[in-house]
Amino acid sequence: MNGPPSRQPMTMTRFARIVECYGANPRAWPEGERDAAQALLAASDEAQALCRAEAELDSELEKAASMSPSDALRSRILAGIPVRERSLRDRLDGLAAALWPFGGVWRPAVVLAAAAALGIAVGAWLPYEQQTSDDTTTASDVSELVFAGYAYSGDEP
Amino acid sequence: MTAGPTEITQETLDAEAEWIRRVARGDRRAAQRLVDAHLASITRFAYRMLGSSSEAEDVAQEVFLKLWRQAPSWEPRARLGTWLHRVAHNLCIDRLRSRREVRLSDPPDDPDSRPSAFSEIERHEAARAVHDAIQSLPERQRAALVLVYYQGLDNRQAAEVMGVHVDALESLLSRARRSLRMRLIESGGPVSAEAL
Repeated sequence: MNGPPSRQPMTMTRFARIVECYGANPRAWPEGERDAAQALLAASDEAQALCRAEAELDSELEKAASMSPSDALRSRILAGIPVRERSLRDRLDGLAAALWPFGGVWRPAVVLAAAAALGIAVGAWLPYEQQTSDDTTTASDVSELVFAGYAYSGDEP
Repeated sequence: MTAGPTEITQETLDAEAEWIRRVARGDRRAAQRLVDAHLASITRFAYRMLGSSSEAEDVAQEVFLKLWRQAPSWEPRARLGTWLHRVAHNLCIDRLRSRREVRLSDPPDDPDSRPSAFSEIERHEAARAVHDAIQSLPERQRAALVLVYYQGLDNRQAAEVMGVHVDALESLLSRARRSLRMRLIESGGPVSAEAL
């Protein structure tokens, strides 16, 4: 039988049974008995004679007609694979692939996340008053520029 | 003999299950991979069981369609190859039983009908003689022989496919090989009667 290697010595009766069932090729013999059977084969003329007789039949069996599946069969089988509603994850994967068709989406995602984190960190680090005064200055500057533009064109603001 | 059995590990079963789950999600590449890995073997098995290439293709198609239907609820309990063989075996047995009235000696499909040289004709005739001898076996003996000798299943896998104990499988194998030897001797083949 197949299974863990047997520690029982191989008898000629069992060897004869193995080759009459599985043929002369040791690869086809039950795994658990293979080593013991091969040891007996190496040591016994009787075992070798049994193997030769079965090898003749094996050789004939090799000649049996066979076939290969057609391409049309392969196509018919593949046409029958299930069509499932795409899951949310599949949809997200498809969207990511459409937006970034160059491989792993994690690379641009990491760059964007790093840029966002840097912006937040810089914003949090700057003193609030400085941000406010800068904003005021900038708004004032813009107002003056707009006013100057109207003055230059002769229109009232 | 075809490829021998490979060691069954939980990792193997889980990997196969992952491919099948992908098929269940409609992944065509996963389906192609499974078809590439198993279609030829299952088709040859059905051909040697049924002796007809068109019926073998019908069975192979049905086997894979059953797999696609089973995919959403697939559990990694057995090797996919063993499962496919079991389904194919059952379908072949059903077909054999439904055509009892057809004579066993009907010629099989000719796998290649091109004009041949003499040696090619000889080779072809030898192939047909062995094919006929296999087709003449009772269906359970034929299944045991094809599973172990041609499909390369180990004794436990073959017994599982057929739903029998390993001792019963060996009995079927022994009778199958004995019958084949007799048949090939009767047909004038080179097999000797030494082991009878």
